[in-house]
Amino acid sequence: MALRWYVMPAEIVLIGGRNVRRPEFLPTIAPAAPWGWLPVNDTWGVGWVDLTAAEHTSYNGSAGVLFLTADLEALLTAGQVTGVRARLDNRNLPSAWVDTTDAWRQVIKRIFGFIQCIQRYYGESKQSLVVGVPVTTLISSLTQTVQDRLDVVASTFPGGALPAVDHVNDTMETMLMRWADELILRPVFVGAHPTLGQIEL
Amino acid sequence: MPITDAFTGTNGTGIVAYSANWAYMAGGTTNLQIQSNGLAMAAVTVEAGARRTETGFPNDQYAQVTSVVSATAAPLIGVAVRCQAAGSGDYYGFYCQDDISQLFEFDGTTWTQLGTNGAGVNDTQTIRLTVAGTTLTPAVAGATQSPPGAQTDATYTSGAPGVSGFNDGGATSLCRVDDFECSDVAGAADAIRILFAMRMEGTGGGRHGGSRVN
Repeated sequence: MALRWYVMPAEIVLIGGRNVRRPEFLPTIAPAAPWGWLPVNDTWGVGWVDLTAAEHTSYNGSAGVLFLTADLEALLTAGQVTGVRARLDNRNLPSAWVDTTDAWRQVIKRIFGFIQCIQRYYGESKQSLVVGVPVTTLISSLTQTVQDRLDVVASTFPGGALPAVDHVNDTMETMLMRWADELILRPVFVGAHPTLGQIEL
Repeated sequence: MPITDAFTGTNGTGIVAYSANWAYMAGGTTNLQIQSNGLAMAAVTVEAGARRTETGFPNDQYAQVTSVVSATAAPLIGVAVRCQAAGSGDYYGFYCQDDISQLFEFDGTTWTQLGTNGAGVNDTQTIRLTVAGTTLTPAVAGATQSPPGAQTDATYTSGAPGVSGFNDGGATSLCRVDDFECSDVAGAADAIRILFAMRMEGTGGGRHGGSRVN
């Protein structure tokens, strides 16, 4: 068994009369495997799973799964940078910041920052922050309702306010990067492993 | 002083009818009900929640109940924090039965588990969920329940404490809690209490040596 980090596609299934969002494929491939994640409010999340080598091969070969690393201290290779950037681009998240001078810990921590922003915006609006909104989008081009929500997200963020939105100059990318710059300074707890204990970045 | 509720009432009374200090969040007004002067789940398949109706709860808050009766294949019952508007179904919850415990986020439509199942609870153990900033910390009998462990989530930033439950049709008599306790609306006193409780439970930044991931 080994703890590895992934981009994890999510599924929503009807169980016990309720819609359950959970990591896709894991209930079939490794139903007893410990896992933890930060879920995004649509179809994916980022987290860790403790899998055998065979289970990892199967899971990593599943649609939408992106194996990130088993070593948070390792630097990204050029190929990994390409892969992560492509996945972030696909999700309308900033990607140009990822490079081979980054360790996986910093990369995943910043992605967790983006995810928390998406979670908070959903909690405020029941809508996605980034779906259909390219990173080049000027904040000033968004509706006033959306801009007002962004202000609320920043000013009421749990654990402390995020930097204010610059309604004149910000794009989605500059705003999300500035918010993530703040959030990477804060601890992120991703559940607990039965023997390794609390997982924290 | 914390807000408390001993659930002393008539069997079968829904939590909302039992007291105006409760408002339903999800699952209807009678699925969380008084039984034997405690709180139980009706024998239907339902995800249920209820929030306190007082106003002015601090954003960082906790809710706790004591397990009185627990069993396997029973309803799960426990607590909730940062409950949003009544009827919205938006809250964080932590509930347990004899052999599992679960930490989750619910948005009225979709239930998202945060981390894998933890161990179950025995009778007389406290079930507690604390939220501070973006950190949710589930605890049983005063110790962090790991798994699921502490979890970061930023969806909800404020709200009220409450109770939560899920039943897949199990008998009402199989699971019951009592002695609800939650943050007072006073704010400052609770912040200190929450911080103290978190330190006792061993959660919070840096207390686990940074990262246990290799």
